[in-house]
Amino acid sequence: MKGLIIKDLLFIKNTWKNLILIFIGSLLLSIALGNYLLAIVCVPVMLLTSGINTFQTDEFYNSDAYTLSYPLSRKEIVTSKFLFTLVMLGISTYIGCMIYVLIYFIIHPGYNGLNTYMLRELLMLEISGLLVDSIFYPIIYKYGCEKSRFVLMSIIILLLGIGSILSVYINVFKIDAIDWNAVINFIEQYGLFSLTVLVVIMSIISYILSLLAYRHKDY
Amino acid sequence: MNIEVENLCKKFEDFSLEDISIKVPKGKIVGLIGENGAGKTTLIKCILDVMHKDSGKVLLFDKDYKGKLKEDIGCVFDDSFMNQTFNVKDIDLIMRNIYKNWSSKKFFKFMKDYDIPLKKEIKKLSTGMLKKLEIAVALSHNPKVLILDEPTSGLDPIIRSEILDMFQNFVENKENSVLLSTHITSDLEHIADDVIFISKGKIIFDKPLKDIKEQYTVIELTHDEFAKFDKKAIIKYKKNRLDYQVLIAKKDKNKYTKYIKNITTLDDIMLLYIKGEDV
Repeated sequence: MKGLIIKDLLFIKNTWKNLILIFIGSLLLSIALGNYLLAIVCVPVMLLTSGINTFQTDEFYNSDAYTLSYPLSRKEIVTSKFLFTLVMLGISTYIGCMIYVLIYFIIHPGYNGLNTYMLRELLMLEISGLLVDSIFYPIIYKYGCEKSRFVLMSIIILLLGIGSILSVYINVFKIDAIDWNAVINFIEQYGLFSLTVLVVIMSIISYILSLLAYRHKDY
Repeated sequence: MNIEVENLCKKFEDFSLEDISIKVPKGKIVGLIGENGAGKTTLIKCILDVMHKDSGKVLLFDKDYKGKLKEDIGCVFDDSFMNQTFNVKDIDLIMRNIYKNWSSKKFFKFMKDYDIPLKKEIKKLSTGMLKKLEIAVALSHNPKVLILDEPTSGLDPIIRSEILDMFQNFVENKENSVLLSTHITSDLEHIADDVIFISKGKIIFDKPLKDIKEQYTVIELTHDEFAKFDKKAIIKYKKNRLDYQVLIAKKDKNKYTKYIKNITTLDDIMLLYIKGEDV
């Protein structure tokens, strides 16, 4: 498994020039806007969703069949992808913090807009990145990268359509049983925690679905 | 036995492998021949569990298939290798964390012998160099079996010859073996011990190369000669514009010496089996 994680990390390492360009762009944009949130979160979130890029590259170079010739079970191959994502969570958080420090001490010394709120935002966005991964992974394992975009889009559009039709007949904001102020307060207080719990549950479901999809996959 | 396949079946919508049974003994090079789409790659992928078989059994080293047994198998696929943005050093780093028996020393010696640059992206290597790299990767974890799907396609005769020599050296210890799928049958004429001929998902024959050469001969007849020829002696024939190519049993060779124009090759036999007609 370690070899596969290293393989994906090497792929990310090979994209370092692009990541630096993205950081410079996001930094310039942040300076223009007077808010450094974008500069802090852009590269870490890109890194966190890079798991999807590794699937794409494997598909582009048709290396899936070759991977299955390694002395690894299919379960180990799927597990390595999820472990890689966890490693990326660590790396992206570290890089996010380094950017934070870089801005605070070098780029804009004493900038008072940097605070724990911004780090919380970084974590929120990273966890959202993990959520995207956990939705994408099983679909990619099942359908491959090319098709999975269409599959995901069709699911999203379908859900939006159903939601829109239902909203014509049911206005949830007028349902007496729901105290919307309480809901908003809850999100403000426990948003990060709730999102983390949601992502953990989603990741477990995603892992199980990925295993099931990959178990039956032929290359 | 290093590889044993028993009654393997795999069905697709428009193609199926039917009841395939093959053996790859220790110390042997077994050639898998057949036209494009005959089922060679599917069979190899089923052996390696890259594809799921519908039924049948695959034994590796006399044991039921398990992922870890692949530690002793080196593979080269026709159309699948690693991410080609990697360089040779990256490959070494990855592989030494995948195979317990990976030998960096052996791998880098191959690279030196083949003049493959260590820092060049593998997508920038020539076809020949890439194929040599794939074979070097397959050999550098000291496998007992090589499973190779079209390892020499697209290569010039000199590189092909070098690669075939490597396979012969590999089986010299009488323990290792090679399963080599190819449609360049001339490659097998010099190195294969056994030849398995697959066509349309079925095994046409599975015989020692020596026996094939002893059993079949291809003769060439004019249209008039064909009309008068003893049809019972014909296994398969193919009508061309100017002549007939006829596959006969070699035991009848002496009777028909005058019709033998060339040395019979595996290609001739394969062509007549696939394209030829029964009498």
